[in-house]
Amino acid sequence: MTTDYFEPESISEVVSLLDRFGDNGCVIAGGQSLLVMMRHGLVSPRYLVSLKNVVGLSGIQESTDGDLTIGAMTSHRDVHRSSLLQRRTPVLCQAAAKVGSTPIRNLGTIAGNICHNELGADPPAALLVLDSRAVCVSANGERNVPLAQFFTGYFETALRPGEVVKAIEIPSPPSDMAGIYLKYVVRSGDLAVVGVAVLLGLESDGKHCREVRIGLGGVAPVPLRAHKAEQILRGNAIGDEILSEVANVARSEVDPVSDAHGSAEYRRKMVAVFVKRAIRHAVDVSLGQGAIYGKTN
Amino acid sequence: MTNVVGKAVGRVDGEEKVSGSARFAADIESAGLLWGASLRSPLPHAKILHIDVNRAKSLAGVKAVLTSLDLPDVRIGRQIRDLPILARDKVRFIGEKVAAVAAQDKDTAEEALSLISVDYEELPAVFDPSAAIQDGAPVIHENPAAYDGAPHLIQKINNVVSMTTKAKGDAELGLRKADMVFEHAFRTPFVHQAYIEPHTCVCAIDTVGKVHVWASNKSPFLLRGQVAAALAVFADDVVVHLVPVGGDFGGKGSPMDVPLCYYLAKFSGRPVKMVMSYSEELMAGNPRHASIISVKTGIKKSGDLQAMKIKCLFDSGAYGAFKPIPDVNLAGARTAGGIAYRIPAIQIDSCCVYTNSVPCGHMRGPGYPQIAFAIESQMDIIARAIQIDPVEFRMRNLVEEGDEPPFGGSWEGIKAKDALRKVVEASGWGFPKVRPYVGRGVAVMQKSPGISATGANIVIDSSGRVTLRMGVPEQGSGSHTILQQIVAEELRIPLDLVTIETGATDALPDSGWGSGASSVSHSMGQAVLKAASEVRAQLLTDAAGILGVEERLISLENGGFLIRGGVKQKRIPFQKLVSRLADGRGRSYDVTTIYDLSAGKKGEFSFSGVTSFCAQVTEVEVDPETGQVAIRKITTAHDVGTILNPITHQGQIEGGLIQGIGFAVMEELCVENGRVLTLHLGDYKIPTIRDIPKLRTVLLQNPAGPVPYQGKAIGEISIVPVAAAIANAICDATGVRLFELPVTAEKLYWELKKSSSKSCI
Repeated sequence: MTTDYFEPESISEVVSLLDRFGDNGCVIAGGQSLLVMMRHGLVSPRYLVSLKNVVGLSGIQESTDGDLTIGAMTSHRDVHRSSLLQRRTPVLCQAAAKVGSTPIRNLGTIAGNICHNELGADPPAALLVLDSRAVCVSANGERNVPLAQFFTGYFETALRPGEVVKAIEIPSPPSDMAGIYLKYVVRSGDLAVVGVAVLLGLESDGKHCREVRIGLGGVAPVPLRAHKAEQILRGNAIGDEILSEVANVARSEVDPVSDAHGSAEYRRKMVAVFVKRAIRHAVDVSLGQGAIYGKTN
Repeated sequence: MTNVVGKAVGRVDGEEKVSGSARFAADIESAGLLWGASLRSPLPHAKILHIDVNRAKSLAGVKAVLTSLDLPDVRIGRQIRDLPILARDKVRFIGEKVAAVAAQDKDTAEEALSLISVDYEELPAVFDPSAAIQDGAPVIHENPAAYDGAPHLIQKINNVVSMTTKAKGDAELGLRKADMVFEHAFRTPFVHQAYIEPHTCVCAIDTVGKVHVWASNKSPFLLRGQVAAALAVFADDVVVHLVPVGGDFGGKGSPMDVPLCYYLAKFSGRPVKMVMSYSEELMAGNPRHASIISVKTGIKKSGDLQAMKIKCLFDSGAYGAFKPIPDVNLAGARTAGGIAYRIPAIQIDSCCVYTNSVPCGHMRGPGYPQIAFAIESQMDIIARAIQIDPVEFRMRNLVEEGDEPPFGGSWEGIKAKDALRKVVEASGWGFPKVRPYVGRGVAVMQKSPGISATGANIVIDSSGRVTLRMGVPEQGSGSHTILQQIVAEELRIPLDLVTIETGATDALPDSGWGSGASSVSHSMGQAVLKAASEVRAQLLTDAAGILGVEERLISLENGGFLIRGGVKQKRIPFQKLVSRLADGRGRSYDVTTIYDLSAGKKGEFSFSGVTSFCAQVTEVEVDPETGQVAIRKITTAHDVGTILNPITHQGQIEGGLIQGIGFAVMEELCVENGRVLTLHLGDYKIPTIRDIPKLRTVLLQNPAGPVPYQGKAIGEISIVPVAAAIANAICDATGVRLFELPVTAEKLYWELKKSSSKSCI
C-alpha cells in the first residue's frame, strides 16, 4: 500500500488535511515512534501529514505569569538542553535526557512522545507531576486536555480524530519543589521498566513533606500519578518507615505487564524501590545535598 | 624487520564500507529482478492438509507461487540434509517455510503471501530437549538416520540428531576414587548472532542454464556444493559470486533461502532477490544451540582434579541442516570445548536433540561459551567449597608445557598459567573492593585455530600492480586487510599496490570452509604467503636473467629490486622492473597455490597443535535492591603470537568480549511453546555501547603459531570465558550462584531474596 505524504506550512492547513483524511490520516512529527510502527506493519496510514514545515511549532516560551509552553515539534534534546526548562522544570529535562539514544532525542519530539503513549516512555511521568496540559487543535477549534486525562490506554490517548497536539503547557511550575526522574532499564537506551518522577517540597524544617507528586511510567497501561502514595507522605516527616509505606502503596497503585523482559511481580517490586530512591534523592536535592544529574540509574 | 606486517594499517575495505559504496547481496540489481518472500508456519508441529495458492497466483504482479508440490522431494543442509526447501507434509517449527512467492515488488509479494491459505492439523510438540528424548515424546523426524549426511548411529533414543562420547581414562572410576565429587547442571539459551545484515540472496539462471548466486554467505565453495546437491546439478553449474558479508559471527554458513530463491527464479523465468526481515531472522535464522550441561567433577583433598564427566544436551531445534559438522559434537571435539585443565580421566557425552524450536547453527566458538560457562562456574564452586582462592585452584590444575590436550594429540607452547598470572596482575585481583556488592570473577579457556584446505592466486600485470584473487569473502573481521598485508610484506611493496579481488567460484581457487573457526589468517594466510613467495621467486629469477646478475645478489626491499655487488648497490623500483619482466615474458605473473594440511577425516575440522589461552577477570557491582549487575571492568589476557595487524586483532578481542557480555547478562531468544517472543532487535537485546564497561587487554606475545609470521588465532577465544567470569564475579559480590544464562536482573533479584546467607555454594 502506498502512503501519500504532505508537508503543510501552517497549523490550519494541518487540521484541514486531517479533517479531510479522517481515519486514514496520521500526523508525523519526528517519526521516531511512528516509523517503527509502520516498519513492523502495526500501522499503515494512507496519508501522512508532517509537522516539519509548520511555522511556530518549535521552541519553548515563558509567559509573563510564568506559564511555560513547549511547541509540539520541540525535540527531546531541546527540552533537555533548554536553560529555561533546566531552571523551571528540571524533572522534565532529566526525563527528556533519558529518552532512547542521542539520534532519537535529536529527532523525536515531546508531543510525538505523548501522542504515541508507548509503555515505558519517559516524558509522561515528568509531565504528569508538573500538571501539564496538551493543547489539541482540530478543524473545530482548540481545547486543553490535562495530561491526567490525556492517556487512555496502551498506545491510546484522548486525542480525537482530526486533532493534533500543537503544544504542551505547563502552568506555572512550582519554584520551591525539587524534581527527580529515575529510570530503570535492562539495557541502556531501552524504554523504562519503571520510570519514576517525583516533585517534592519540604517544610522549612527540612524534615516534613509539604507537598509531593509522584508520576510513574512503564508500570500500567497509562502513565499515572500515585495519588494514594502521595497522600501518605504529604504532611509527614520523611523517614525510612513512612517511605516503606509510601513505596508499598505506590506498588499497589500500578498494574504492570509480564513479558519476556520481566514479570509483573518484579516490576511492582521495582516501583517500590525506585519510588523510595526518587523521594530520597529529591530530599537531598531540596536540602542542597544532591546533584540532579548525578548517576541516578 | 617487517614492512607492513604488524603495523596498524587501516582496512582495505574501509573506504567502501564507510562511504556506503560496498555492494552487499541486497545491493545486487538485475534487469527484471523479482522480490521473493516466504509464508511461514504459525504452528510448531502440524500436518499440512492443504495449501490454497489460487488467490495468490491470480494477483497482478505475481510471477511465481510455490509449495513443496512444485519442487522435487529433496532435502538440503550443510552436512545433514534434513530440511525440505518448503515444508512437505508437515511443519516442525514456527517459522518453517511452507510456501513462497516471487512478485514484481515487495508489497505485491507480501500481499500475495496473505492470500495463501494453509489448512493444518496440529500435532503434539516438544520443546524441552530432555523431554524430547523420553519414550513417548512426539516424534519430529520419522527416520532421521536415513537422511543424507546423517551421523551413522543406531537411533534408539527418540529425536536424537547425534550422540558422541569422547573419553580419556576411566572417568567413572576416577569419580569413585575421588575424595570429593561435585555435580551441577547449567543451562544456556538460544542466542542469535545479531549481525546487521539479515540473510540475503539473489539467484539468476543464465541463457546456458548456469545458476548464479549472490548471497550473504561466508563459505562460497561450500554453498556451491550445497546448492548443487539441492538442485541435483554439478557444482560447476552453480556460480557463487562473492559479496561482502554484513556480519557473520558464525551464522552465515548455511544455504538458508538460496535453493528456494533458485526455484522462484526457475519458475518465474526471472532473477529473484530474497531478504529475510529481522523478525524472520530471529524466528528462523540459525541461532546458537541452547544447552543443558551437567558436570560431575572429582578432586583430591589436595585440590587436584581427578576426573570429570560432562553430559551435554544441545537443543538442535527442528532440523540439523544448519550444522557444519555432521556429528554435531559441539562439546566433544578433541579440544573438549576449550577446557584448559589437566584432568587424568575425562569423558564428554554430547547429545544433540531435535525439538519443535528454531533450528540451530553455529555462532562464534560453537559449543565453547556454553561449556565454558558450565566448567568455569563449577571450578569456582569447587574452589570456594574447599576454601582455596579461585585463582590458586586454577593455577594448581591448569595445563603446562608437556601436558596433552584433553583427548590426546599434542600441544606446544602452553601459556595457560602465564595468561592467568598476567590477568591477575593487571586486573587488581585480590585488591580491596571499593564497596560491598562489588565482586570479581575469573575464568580461563583455550581455543585453537581451524584448518581449511584453501587456495590463493596472485597475478602481477605488466604495470607491476599486484592482484590477490581468493575465495573468502570479507565478513567484517578485517581478514582481507591481513591478506593484503601478507602480499605486500612478501614483495616488500606498499599496500596500495596490492588489490584484492574476489569474483566468483568459477574463476577462483577453492577456498574450502571459507571463513570460520578462527581460520582465515591461518589457512588462507598460508595459501597467500605461499603464492606470494612463489611469485617473488619467479620475479627474482627473471630479474637476474634480464639484468645479467647472479640471482643471489638480488632481493626485494623497500618497494624495489635491490641489486648488490659491483661498486655500489643499485635499486630499481618494483613497478618499473616488473613491467620489463612481464614484457620480456610476454605475459603477466600468475601463481596459484593450495594450502592443505587438514589431517582429519573429510568434513571434520582439524585443529593445529598450537592453541591460545585466554584468562579473564571481571569486576561487577550488584544492586541488591534490583538485582541489576553493572559490569565495572573486564580484563582479558591473551597468549598471542605475532600480531599481524593490531587494529583488527584488538577489534576481534573487544568484539568477542562485548558479545560475551550480551550472552552473560541479556541475550536470549525468549521462546514460549516454540514461539520466539523477541522478534525484533528492540526486544532481542544485545548490548549497546553504553552497556560496555572499561575493557583492558593484556597480550602475552609469544611468536609461535600456525598463522604466517608465527601468529595465532584470535577470532573466537575472547567470547568464551566472559559469561563464567561474570557469573563468578556475581557470586563473589553476593554469594548467589546462577546456573542459567542470561543472568538477568530479575533472576538475580529472586535468588538474592531466597538466599539469606552470603556464602557461596
